[in-house]
Amino acid sequence: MTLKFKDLTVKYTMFDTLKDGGGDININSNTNINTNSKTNTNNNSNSNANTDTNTDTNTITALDNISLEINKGECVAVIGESGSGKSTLVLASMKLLASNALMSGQIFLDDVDISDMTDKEMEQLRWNKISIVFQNYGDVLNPVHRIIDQVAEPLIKNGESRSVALEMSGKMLDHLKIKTGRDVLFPHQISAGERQRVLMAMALITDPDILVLDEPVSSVDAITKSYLAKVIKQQVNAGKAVLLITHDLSFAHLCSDRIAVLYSGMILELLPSQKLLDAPCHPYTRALVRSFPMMERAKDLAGVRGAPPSKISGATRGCIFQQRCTQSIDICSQKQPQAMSIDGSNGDGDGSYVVCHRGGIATMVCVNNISKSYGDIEVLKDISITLDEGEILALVGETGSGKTTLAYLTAGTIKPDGGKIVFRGQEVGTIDKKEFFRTVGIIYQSPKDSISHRFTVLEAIAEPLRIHGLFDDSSVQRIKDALNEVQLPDEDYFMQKYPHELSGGELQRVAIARALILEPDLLIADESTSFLDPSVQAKILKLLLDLQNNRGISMLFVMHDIGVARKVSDRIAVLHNGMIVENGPSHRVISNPQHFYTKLLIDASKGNEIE
Amino acid sequence: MLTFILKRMCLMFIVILGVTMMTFLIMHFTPGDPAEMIAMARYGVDDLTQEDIEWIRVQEGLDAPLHIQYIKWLNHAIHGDLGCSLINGQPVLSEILVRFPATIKLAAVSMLVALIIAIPVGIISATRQYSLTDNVSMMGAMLGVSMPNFWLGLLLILLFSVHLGWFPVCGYGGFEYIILPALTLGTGMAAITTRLTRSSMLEVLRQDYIRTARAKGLSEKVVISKHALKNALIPIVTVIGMQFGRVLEGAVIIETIFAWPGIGKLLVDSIYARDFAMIQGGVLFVAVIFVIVNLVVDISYTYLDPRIRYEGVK
Ligand SMILES: Nc1ncnc2c1ncn2[C@@H]1O[C@H](COP(=O)(O)OP(=O)(O)OP(=O)(O)O)[C@@H](O)[C@H]1O
Ligand code: SF4
Ligand SMILES: [Mg+2]
Repeated sequence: MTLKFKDLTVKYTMFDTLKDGGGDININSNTNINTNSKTNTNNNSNSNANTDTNTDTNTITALDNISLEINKGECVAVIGESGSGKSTLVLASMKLLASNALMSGQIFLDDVDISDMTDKEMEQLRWNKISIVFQNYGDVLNPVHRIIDQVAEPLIKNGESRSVALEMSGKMLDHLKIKTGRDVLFPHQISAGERQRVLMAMALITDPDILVLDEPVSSVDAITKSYLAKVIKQQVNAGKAVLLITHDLSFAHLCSDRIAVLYSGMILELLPSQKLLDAPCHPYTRALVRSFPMMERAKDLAGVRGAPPSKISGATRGCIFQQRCTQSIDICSQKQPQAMSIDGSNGDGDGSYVVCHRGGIATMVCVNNISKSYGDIEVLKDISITLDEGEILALVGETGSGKTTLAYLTAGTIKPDGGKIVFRGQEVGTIDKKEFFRTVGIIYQSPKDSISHRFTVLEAIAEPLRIHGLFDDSSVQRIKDALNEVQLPDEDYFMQKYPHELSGGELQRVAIARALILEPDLLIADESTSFLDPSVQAKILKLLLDLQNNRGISMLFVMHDIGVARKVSDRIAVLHNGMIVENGPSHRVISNPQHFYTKLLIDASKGNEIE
Repeated sequence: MLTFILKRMCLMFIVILGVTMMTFLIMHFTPGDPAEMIAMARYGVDDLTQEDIEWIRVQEGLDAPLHIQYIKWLNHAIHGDLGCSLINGQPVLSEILVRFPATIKLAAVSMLVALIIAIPVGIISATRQYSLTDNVSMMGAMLGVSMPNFWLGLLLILLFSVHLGWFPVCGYGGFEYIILPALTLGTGMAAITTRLTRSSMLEVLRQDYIRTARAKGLSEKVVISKHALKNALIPIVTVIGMQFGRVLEGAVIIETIFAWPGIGKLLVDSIYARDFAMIQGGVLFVAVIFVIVNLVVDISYTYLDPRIRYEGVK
C-alpha cells in the first residue's frame, strides 16, 4: 500500500483560553466548537471547500500544502524542528487530528481517499491498514491498563481470542526486547525507552501495510536505537510503506530512502537520504545538518540562527525561511517560492525538489580553471572550485602550496594568468572595486599586514568606513559594537592604543573587527590563527564561527592544519602541487580520504610519524 | 499498603477527636441550662424545684469544668462506654445501634439512586458536549445543586403522597417507604456527581491515550467504556467518600421530614432534649462511620489507579 498526502493543509483554530479552561461551567458558550469526533468529521469535510488561506487570522497553520508519497517498500523520513508540524502530519494520516483542527486536501491509502471518511469507516482502516507509533510523551498509553493488554487489544477487536492475542502480544513485546514478566506491568512502571518499544509493538501487532512512526527513538539509547532501525528496515523490506518522523538526522539517514525537510508546516526539500546529508540543497537543511551532532562530524554545532516564523495563518508572505536565510534576495520576501525539481528534469527524476527562489543553496564564488605563475614557478594549475552562500570552506595544504595565492585571487587582489573567477554571477575583475570590497572582507595571515602601525585601534577599524564614505556620527558606536563582537573592550583607552601596544591575539581580533565592519558577505581568512597560541586560537575560531552563524556569511579559511579545518569547516579542499586533490564534505574527507596526500596530512596532524 | 492504612488510622483518630471536641463546645454554648432541661424532661415542668435541677447538675457531672467533662467522657468512650441517655437512661450505644440500620439503608439507597443517575448522564453529557442533551442535563444538575433538600422533600411528599397517593407520606417500613426519602437525598447528590462525572470524563477524553485507543480502530463505545471510564472514575470515587458525609448530613433533615427512625432523627430529637450523652455518642458514631467509609474509598481508589497502588507499596 502507498500512503499519499495531496495538498494537505491543517490549521488549528485558537481557543479562547478562558472558554477552553472553563470545564463544565460554561454550558452555553462555545456551541460552535465540536469536541465530539463524529461531528468533527463532518465539520472537516464541510470546511474543505472553503478554507481561505489568508483571511482567517485566528488560526495557526500547522501544515501548509503538503504533498508527499510513501511507496510500498519505502521509508520516507520527515525531519524538522520541534513545532514544525510533524506530529500533525502523523495524526492527519489517520484522521486523528484534534477537534480544533481544520483540514483540507486529501490523504490516500492506495487510491482510497480517506479525507472524507467518517469515523465509522475509518475504524475499519485504523490499525488494519495503517498504524501509528505515537510520539512518546505524557499518557499515550492508558495508565490504568496493563501494557500487554493494550498491545493485544487490536487483535481482540479483530476477533482473536484473548489467550491467543495475549500470546502473540507477548511474543511481539519479546521481539522488541521487553522481557517477559515486564509485559504485565502498567505504563508508569516501565521506562520511557521501554514505553517507546511497547508503542512500536502495539503498532506492529496487526501487521499493517503502512506504518507511521512519530519520533520512535527519541528516548532510547544508541544500541536500542540501532536495534529499532533494524526492526524498521525489516518492515520496509517486507514491503511496508513507512513514514518516519524524527528530528534525529542520523537515524533518518539510517532508516530512510528519502528525507523530506519540514519547516514551519512546509516541506522545503525532498532528497535521497544520502544526498541530503552530504549535499543538502536548501539553506535550512544545511543549517539543520550543521546543528545535528553526528559521530562522524567534528565541526562544532552551530544551530540555526533566528527563530521560526509566526504560524498565524497568512502572517508570512514570502519564503517562510526568509528571516533566517543567509542568501535571501528581494523576491524572497515578496513571493512564496515554488518547488523546483533538483535534477532539472521535470517530473521524471527521482522526485527530489527544493523550495527556494534561488534553487537551493546558491554558488557565491566560482573559480574556473585558474592558473597562476610567479615567474617560472607555476603555483596554481588549472584550478576549479566553488564556494556556496553561507558555506565555510577550508583550503588546506602545506606551506607554499598556493593556498594564499588562491585566496588572494578570490579576493581580487591579484589577477589570474588564465581562467576566471565569478562572484555572484559577475567576473571578479569586472566588478566595481569599491563595491566588491564592501562585500568581501579579508583577514591577512599576519595582522600587521591588515593594520598599519600608524593607526590607533579606532582609526584602523574606521578606515574601511572612511574609504567607502560611510563614516558618520553613528560610526563610533558601530565600531564599539564591532569590538564587543570580537570580545575586546570598547573603552576609549583601548581604542587609542597602537598596534605595538596590543598582544597578537588582540591585534588579530582588531583585524577581524576591521574586516567585519562593512558587514561583508564573504570573509576570507588566511591562516589568521596559525601563529596564535592554542587557547587564543580556539577563542578566535569560535568567534569567527559564531559570527558566521549569526550573520550567515560565507567563509574561506586558508589553513595548513587539517585537524583544525575539520573542526571549523563544512567542506575541505586539499591543495597539493598547485592542484586540488581532494574536495568534499569535511567529515567525508576526514573519515575516508581518497588522495594519499590527504591521508598524509591527516596522519601528520594526528602526530604520527611520516615516512 | 499497611503503613498507608496505619497512617490513615492516626489521621482518623485526630479527626474524630476534633469533631467530638467541637460538639462539646457547641453544646456548651447553646442557650438554655442543660440541667434544667433534663430535669424538666424527667420530672415534668410542673413540680420542678431548683434543688432537683442542682441535684441533676451534680449527678450528671455538669458542674465540673468543661475540659474535665470532656476528658471524662472521652475516657469512657475509649473503653466503649458512651454512657446513658440523660433523658430515658437507656445506654447510648444500644440506642444508636438500633437506629443505625435505618440510616444505612437510606444512605445506601440514596447513593445508589445518585450513581444510577449521575454516571450515565455525566458520560452522555461529556461525549456530547454542548449538545441539547448536555445542556438540559447540566441545567437539571444546576437545579439539583441549588435546590434545598428539605424543600425538594416536601415537594415530593406533596406530589406523590398527598396528590397522587402513590407512596406513604412518612414512616418506616417496606420498600414504598424508602422511595421518597431516598429520591430526595439521591437527586441532590446526583446533581453534584453528574457534573463531576462530566468534567472528569471531558478531561479524560482529551488525553492522549484516548486518541491512541481511537487510533487502534476501537469503536466509540469501547473507547468510552474501556479506556475513558476507568480513568474518569478515579476522581469520582474519591468524591463519593465525601458525598457519603453529605448523605449523613442530609439524613438529619430528611429523616426528620419523613419521620425516618435513623440516627439523624435520633440526633435531632436529642438536641431538642439537650440529651448531651446521646448527642455526643451520635456525633462520635457518625464521625467514625464517615471516616471509615472514606478509608474504604481511598483503598478502592488505589485499586482503580495503579499509579497510586504501587507508590503505596513502596
Ligand atoms: N490541538 C492543537 N491546537 C492548537 N495548536 C496546535 C495543536 N496541536 C499542535 N498545535 C500547533 O501546531 C504546530 C505543530 O505542532 P506539532 O505537534 O505537529 O509539532 P511537531 O513537529 O510534532 O513538534 P515536536 O517535535 O515538538 O513533537 C505547533 O505550533 C503546535 O503548537
Ligand atoms: S533564498 Fe529566498 S527562497 Fe531560498 S530559502 Fe532563502 S529566503 Fe527562501
Ligand atoms: Mg511531535
